Amino acid sequence: MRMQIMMRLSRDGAPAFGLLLLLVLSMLMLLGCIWPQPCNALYEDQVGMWDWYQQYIGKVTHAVFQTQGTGRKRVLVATDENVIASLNLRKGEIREHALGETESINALEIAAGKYAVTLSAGCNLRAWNLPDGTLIWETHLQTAASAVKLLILSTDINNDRTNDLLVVGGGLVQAISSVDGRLLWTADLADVGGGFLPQETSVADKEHKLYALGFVGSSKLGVAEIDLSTGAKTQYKEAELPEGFPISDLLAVGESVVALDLAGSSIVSGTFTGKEKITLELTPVSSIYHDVSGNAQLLSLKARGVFVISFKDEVIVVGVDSETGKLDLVEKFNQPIAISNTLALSDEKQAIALVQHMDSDQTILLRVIITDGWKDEIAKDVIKLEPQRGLLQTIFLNSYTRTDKSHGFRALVVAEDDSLSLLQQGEVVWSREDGLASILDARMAELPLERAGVSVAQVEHSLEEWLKGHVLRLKSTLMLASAEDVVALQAVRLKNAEKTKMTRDHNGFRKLIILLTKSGKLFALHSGDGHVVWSLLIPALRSEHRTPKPEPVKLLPWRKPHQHALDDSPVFLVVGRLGPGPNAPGVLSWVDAYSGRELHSLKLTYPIKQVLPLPILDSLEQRLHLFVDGETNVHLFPNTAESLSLFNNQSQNVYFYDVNKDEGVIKGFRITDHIEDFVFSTRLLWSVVFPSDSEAIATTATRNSDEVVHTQAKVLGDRNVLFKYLNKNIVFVTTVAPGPSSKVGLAAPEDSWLVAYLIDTITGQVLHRVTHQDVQGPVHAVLSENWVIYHYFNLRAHRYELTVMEFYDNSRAETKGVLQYIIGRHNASAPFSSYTYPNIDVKSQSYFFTSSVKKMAVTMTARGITSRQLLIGTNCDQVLALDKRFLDPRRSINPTAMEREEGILPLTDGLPIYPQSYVTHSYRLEGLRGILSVPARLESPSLVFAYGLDLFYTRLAPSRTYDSLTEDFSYALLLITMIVLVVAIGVSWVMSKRKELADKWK
Amino acid sequence: MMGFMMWMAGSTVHLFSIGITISALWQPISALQGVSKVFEPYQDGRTDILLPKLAYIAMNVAGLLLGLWKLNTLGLLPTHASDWVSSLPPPQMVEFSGGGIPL
Repeated sequence: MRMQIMMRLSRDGAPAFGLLLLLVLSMLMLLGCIWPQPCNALYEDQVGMWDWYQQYIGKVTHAVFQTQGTGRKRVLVATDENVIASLNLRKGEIREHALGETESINALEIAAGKYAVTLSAGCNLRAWNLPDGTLIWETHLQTAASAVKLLILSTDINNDRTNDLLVVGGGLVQAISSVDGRLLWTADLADVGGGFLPQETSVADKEHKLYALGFVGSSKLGVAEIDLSTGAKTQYKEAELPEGFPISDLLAVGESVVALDLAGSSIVSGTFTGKEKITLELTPVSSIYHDVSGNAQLLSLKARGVFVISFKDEVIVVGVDSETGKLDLVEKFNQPIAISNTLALSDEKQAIALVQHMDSDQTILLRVIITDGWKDEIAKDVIKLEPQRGLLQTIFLNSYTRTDKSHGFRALVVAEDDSLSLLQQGEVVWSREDGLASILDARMAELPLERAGVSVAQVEHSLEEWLKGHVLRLKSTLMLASAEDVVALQAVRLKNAEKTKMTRDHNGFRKLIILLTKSGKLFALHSGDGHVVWSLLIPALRSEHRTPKPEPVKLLPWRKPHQHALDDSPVFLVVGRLGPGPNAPGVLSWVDAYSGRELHSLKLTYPIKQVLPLPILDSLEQRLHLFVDGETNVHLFPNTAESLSLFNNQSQNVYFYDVNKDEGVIKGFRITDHIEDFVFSTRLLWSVVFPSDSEAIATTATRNSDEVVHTQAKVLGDRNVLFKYLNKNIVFVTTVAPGPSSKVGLAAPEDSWLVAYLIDTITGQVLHRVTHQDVQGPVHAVLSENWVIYHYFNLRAHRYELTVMEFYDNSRAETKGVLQYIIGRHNASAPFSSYTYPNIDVKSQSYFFTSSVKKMAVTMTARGITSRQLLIGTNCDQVLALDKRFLDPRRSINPTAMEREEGILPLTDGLPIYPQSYVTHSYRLEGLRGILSVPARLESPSLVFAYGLDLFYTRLAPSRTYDSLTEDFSYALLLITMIVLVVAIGVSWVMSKRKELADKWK
Repeated sequence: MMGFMMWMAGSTVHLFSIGITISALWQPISALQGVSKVFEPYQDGRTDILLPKLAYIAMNVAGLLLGLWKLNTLGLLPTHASDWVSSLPPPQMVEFSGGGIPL
């Protein structure tokens, strides 16, 4: 009760009423005297108290070791999240550069012994200094092909005593100096012969020659020879392919060329160097390896004399005779294997690593083999990996010299879940969960209740530690603490065992963060310090026998036990697709959030276009879900008779809508007939068609279904009431002028506009429409309670703008009399239907904003009383918390005294960005992708989890922590004060008694 | 005296104005409760105390009204609609709708 009144004061600013309140108010004032001073920003020593930050890099696609020379031993990696990182070989610590979304990395090599050279987006060549990662030079090349190769030569072209680089792709060969990135020469291979398309290259260093191999049309094979020092095309040879040989794949193996036909049944091979003419020889695959099962693929090992053909289930290693070009089988594997890059041990010897899984996924056999002759096995280790890693996908091999001059090997392995591990001497040196860099969806779940039988981590405090902590705190309060004490106190505060307990706490701060990653792995992180509680490579989302890899799509809370089913665990539903593309059939997997086990899974026969979590729970507290298939029929889950009867009671009030961005149409449907078991047909009710020549849908926003709103009334300073328009079934849609002019500077102001719509999703009625001239996207919008805020670029003012619109319901404000409210006869508590006549009042205002936006969200609290903050993911990958009161459309230049009392700020044209309001303080969340806010059990705080490549978690208090004491509150000081007071009372009472007695004796 | 104090206290809610208002309300109420006690010494059967008693009550009621008026100027009387709907929960939705951009 007290809490609510206070909050009403803090929120609405209007005075409360009632005689009774006087008492409470005076109590509050007393309380206010002893209240600790709240703070808006964070003090230095509070960093890390309730926030944490983790860095990840993503799935490693390229890796090079740098173990020679001085400095720390490290491995450089490039990932599919476009990150270049340097990892310490001992601990796996990282330093990183993120190149941004559009710059996919094609290659990573070490050049001149001191630079890491990356080729990204097919044309950007950059050299980074190895010890510190500073950019040394950058060259923009002409090639823009997707298949581009970067070759490190072992010859020097321009006589500067460093070996140079070669970039091959898009029909061009370009030589680049590795010292300064200068282009030395360009050779265009497109003009050598009619239709010659180079696919493979082979460098013969000793002869200073480069061979480019490719098909000419569909019947010939061409080889072009290029002189490395000048770039001149010295020779061009062609050879006829055998009759009726449908080409598919081509490999250069040493000095031989190997091509496979489309069916994977025969191989053509021959040597291309030296001789005037290439002689090709046809070998049926069945003569090398008889049990062929189709679907063959050539894999290069970049090793002399061997290559790999992988079939559906088997993998074979084939040797090529360098003299005759004859093929023979070297080794075969009946299970998936991972093969590393080749590693030159000396000038003649090359080694390669092979990884096979033993009986389980967790144990692997790592073998290192000399490629020449494929006979010597120089290392063999059986290694036990951490659980839930899946099959290994990629290996990068590196060697070191032991004290006895023999070779030791270390291998960097990438597993199916995108995790990265370093293996050495039969052990896992370190392991990183880098799949967490590609989070698709995030949710939060409650931890189990604390009681007997529930696993509680062994982190309970001993009494001694507790006392020590409080003595330190007391010392610091009384300013008696020495420098060491301050350090010790900080350590005690940061290592507070309370926050990593595996049970629910009273305030609801401890949660499980459930994360679904791109690799199909589900993680549960503890919100206290971000450690992984469990992880699960979802079995239903793993690929079997080279079928297209299922794609995870969405994570949904299936069951949130909160009332009678408190003992049960929460269950999450993972929605996936059995293959790429939106029309692949769906797959569902139910996962227990406490044990991290898949409960069951289901492969569907239809694609899932939409998921509708209904506001209906069955007796097991499972939420009813509707899945919309490709024919707009809906399928009800869970498949029980109970859910069917529950749904049948409500089905006439269930609607859904579909936003088609490509066609610019929004369609609304309703559920009509029960076709068969748990399948219902639907009927098109309405459609909103945007004119395709002038408007293209830019963004849509809806209210979060979990959002809690405390009240529908907004009390003004003059004690009038505005009723918020709290329709949950609305969608906010913005459209912009069509065309590719989304980049700033490309569009003229007069050709750009933005139209914002508020559409009722039950009736399709456009409730409000507003046009902004001279503005362009990208548009970001957030819809919450009765307001929407959207962000766009103003071309006339050359600045970003944030517009706020607040919707008020005039039809509810008709009853004005106090008496009607006292006796409860008013229309404000009537249920809301979209079929009633809407009478909406829209208040709107726009402000300049200095930052561009990547993501917008809003804080959520338990009861929706606390004022909200807008969470803005800025372009610098930080999260900014902006009070909603800055975005109040009722702001005016000179607010009246009443409005000031209400908390309305004077109008300014821009919105302030205080450095203290960055919730991520000094951290950057590279590639920020999402911001999740969930309520705690206390009303004032809101838990915020932001993710991109990096993860960040913190706790915010948008209206300050009015309902709890701060963490620093010195209970010891309070206790001592009370004890001193009691003792003083006792002593003075005894003394006064004695005095009285003495007086009486006089 | 009380009127002067009230004027001095102003019309914003703080400790002083609330104290003044409470005493302004409490004094007449306690006086009204003790009406019979006040007039006890004069109750000898000969003098007619009804009229002075009524006058005393009227004066105290006036004081009480003054206190209530002060309470109202402080905004602590529930005389506006906003006092009754400020914590009115949001209405229930009759229909449900979901969807959006296809997955």
